[in-house]
Amino acid sequence: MATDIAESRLIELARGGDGDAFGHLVRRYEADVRRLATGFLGDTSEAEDAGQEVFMKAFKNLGKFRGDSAFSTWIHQITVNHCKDMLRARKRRSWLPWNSREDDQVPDSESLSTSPDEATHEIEARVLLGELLKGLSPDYRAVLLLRESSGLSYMEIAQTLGISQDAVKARLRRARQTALEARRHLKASEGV
Amino acid sequence: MLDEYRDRELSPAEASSVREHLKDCAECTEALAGREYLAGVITEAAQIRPSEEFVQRVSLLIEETGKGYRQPLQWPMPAMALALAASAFIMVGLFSSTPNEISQPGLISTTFEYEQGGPMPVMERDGVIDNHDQVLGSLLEES
Repeated sequence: MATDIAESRLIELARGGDGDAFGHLVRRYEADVRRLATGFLGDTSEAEDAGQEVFMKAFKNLGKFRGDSAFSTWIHQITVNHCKDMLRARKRRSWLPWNSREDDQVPDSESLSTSPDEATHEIEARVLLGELLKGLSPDYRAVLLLRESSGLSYMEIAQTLGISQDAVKARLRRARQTALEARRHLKASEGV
Repeated sequence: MLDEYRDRELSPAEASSVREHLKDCAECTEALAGREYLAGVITEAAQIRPSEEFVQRVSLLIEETGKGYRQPLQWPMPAMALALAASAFIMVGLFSSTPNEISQPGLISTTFEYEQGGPMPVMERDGVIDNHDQVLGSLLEES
């Protein structure tokens, strides 16, 4: 409760143009936003750009945040919608495949990896995740990442995406099945 | 049920029931392990450390774009307010007796032939003589 009170005060101050107050909000949600964006986009540089744009949008639209939902829900909504837009734009550009951008091969200095081996492991995990999520639409990807990356409950995911909890369960089940099916295909192809 | 069990969305009684089932069901146990594996890959792929640099970059971007926070307009119909202001401006123009202004195409002009007891003022727009109501209607449409 103390945290909630503090956050509402930060929001109020940020609305009044207090940059420091907004900075505290950024610090609070930065890692979560960047993790979510990384899961969506597969590329840490793009995810970092996305994260910056998410917070800029949040700052510009603070006046529209009425407090009907939690601030975290609002930030997650902005992040999901922004990442979906980026995926659509990427599809239109028909750029490099999701998991073969050069940036992906460079260890992210702001990741938790502390050794070259760990950094390589992280990159491999990102590449693998790309393969596993390739068959998922942005909507299914959103549900899976909000659950696994952001740790949201079914109710919180439903509020963030504006869908029912039954829809969350159905999409999550389907997303996991699709990803695990992709894993089976990968393992089968490696065995060939 | 397996997804809800894994995500701790079941009641204690339901969770206990699933745990009992898992003891004897290799297929479900493997399915659960698959979900744990997927969660592990997602976590591994995006291990993000909070960064003060990131916070500073966001602050800088906000400053550079010059988007200092502004209160959103409180008027429920800003377009209508604009139209009313335009209307007031026109009314002032109509009754300030400025005869025979030549207009450029596309601009609203006030070309008066008004004299005391004379014909009603008219307005000219795009070379077309129009009456005040029609011109005001156009303004409202455009806004």
